[in-house]
Amino acid sequence: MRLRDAMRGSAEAGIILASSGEPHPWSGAGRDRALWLGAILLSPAVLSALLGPVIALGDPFAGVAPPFLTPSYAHPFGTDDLGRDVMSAVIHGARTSLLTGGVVAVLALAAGVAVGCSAGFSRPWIDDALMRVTEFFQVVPRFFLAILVVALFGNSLANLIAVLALTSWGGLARVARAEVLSLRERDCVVAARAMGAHPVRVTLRHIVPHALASVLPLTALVASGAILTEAGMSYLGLGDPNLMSWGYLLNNAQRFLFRAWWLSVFPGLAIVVTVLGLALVLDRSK
Amino acid sequence: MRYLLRRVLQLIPTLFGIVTLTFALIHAAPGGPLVALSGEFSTAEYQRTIEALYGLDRPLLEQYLLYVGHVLTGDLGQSYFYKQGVLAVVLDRLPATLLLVIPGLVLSSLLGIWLGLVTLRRSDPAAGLGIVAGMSAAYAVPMFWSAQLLILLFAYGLGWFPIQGMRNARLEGQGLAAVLDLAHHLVLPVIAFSLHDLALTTVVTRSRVRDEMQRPYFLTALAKGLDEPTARRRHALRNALLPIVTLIGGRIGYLLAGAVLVETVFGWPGLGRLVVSASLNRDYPLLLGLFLCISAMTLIANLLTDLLYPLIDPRIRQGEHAAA
Repeated sequence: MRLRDAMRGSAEAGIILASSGEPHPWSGAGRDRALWLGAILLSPAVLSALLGPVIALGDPFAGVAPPFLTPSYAHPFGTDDLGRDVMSAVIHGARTSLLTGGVVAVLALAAGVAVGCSAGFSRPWIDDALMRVTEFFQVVPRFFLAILVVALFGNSLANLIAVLALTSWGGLARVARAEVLSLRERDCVVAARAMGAHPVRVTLRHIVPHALASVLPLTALVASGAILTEAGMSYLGLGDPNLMSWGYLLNNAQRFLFRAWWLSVFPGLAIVVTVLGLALVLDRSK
Repeated sequence: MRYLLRRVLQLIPTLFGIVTLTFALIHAAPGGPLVALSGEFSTAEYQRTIEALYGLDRPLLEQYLLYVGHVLTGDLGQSYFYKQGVLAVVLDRLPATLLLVIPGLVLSSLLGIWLGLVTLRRSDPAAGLGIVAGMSAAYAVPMFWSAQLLILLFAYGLGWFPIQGMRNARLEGQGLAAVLDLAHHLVLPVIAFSLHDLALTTVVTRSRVRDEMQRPYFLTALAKGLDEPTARRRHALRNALLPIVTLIGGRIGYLLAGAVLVETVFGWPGLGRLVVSASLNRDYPLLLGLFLCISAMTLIANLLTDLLYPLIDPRIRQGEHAAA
């Protein structure tokens, strides 16, 4: 069942979303405007992550004002039950989110391309074995594995990132492998081989760049999936207790939902805007 | 029959992989296998029982075989917090979660396929693009946040639905009144839960059906005088259904994760609260058992999806005949 193999898991949905090849719904002009929109949506989070400690002075966990202030000029996102400034917390949270998404995406990309390219070039039985392993890591329920690992090994961000990376590379490996299979009979590859280039060199020079191009849009999905999962874990109270995170803010908001709507609205918006921006940017960057 | 058998046999390596993974985690855990198998706050006496039960003083291979044996016979250990077998605790909570997951899945699948077809109507392309844009945005919304917003708006603000829980405690009744009460409590959680999947199903249906509409057979159907909506439904959708069903079936693990989050927001007494309390209580046996159960459920869901294929696509049935 090739079809089924090609489609399994939610990461694969990204291939469909990404490769639908239609003009993007937001833009009459097509991909450029969507790319710009994505960049605009993503910029607050990126700026916050880079400049967080500069813009939002001080410790986001420290109370600076009376509790439950409604949004105002001094505190645009209001304050929470301990008088902490929500905007400062959201700015600090950007770093945790983007760090998670970025590191997971890079690790998954490296592992996915490495496994996918080796599988595509190997003898059939090695290829088959590698694909079985890939499939296994795609089937494992990642959220519950993350909960288990965090409970057993401690809830540090590094542990969470490790689990997410381990369960994210499968889809990328599949796409990379498919790309290798379609590329390896191409003229440039055959010519390079005929000239006696080492297989590793052929792979690195002629295959990997092509494979990267088709894998990148899916990497955006891996990153946004990681951001959403990190938020979910922190929402359950299983995030890294030393780091400010949007999920943690939403967890705190839950208790005061009817008293202070702003505790929920702003961190949630931050997640939506960032994930959407990420999807738009990398989806259009092919 | 042969098809079924082959599918079941293919599950076995994955199942062993998952059991092996948990075994490796148990042994790599900082407290060692003893703590992981008995729970962080267990008594010394109980730890000795566990040590004997899992043969923790024997060679690793023997321990592995013992562990696999325990898991395969459905013995997932004891939850020290609930003072009960892990499997019993999980099965006790499972129905509430399924009550949320199954209607949500049915709703998002049917509505998503329908919406996907709507976006392809030629008469109203703007509405189609609007739906796609909205759905792409909905895909970025974390379930637990949309759940909070729904509570704020429809339960707290407008008062249409109960804020939390699964049943009205004051309602003693049985029968129809109880069912209606349950349904009333179910509305918001199911909406929050299915929104994400609805978005995905809509977008995927649209792209798959549109691909099928480029095929010659579709043109033939039109040329023979079939109107386009009917041709889309009867011809293009039928051919596009296989990947759509695959996608839905492959997402069961993600759906259960989503259910955990939504349940937490709504105080729904299912697996979600169990997961959270188990990790806060450091009830490792329960967490290990939950992971195994949910992995097994994921595999079963994949199997059920596979079993749907021959029903959807006669070519797979034919292929089976040819092979036999």
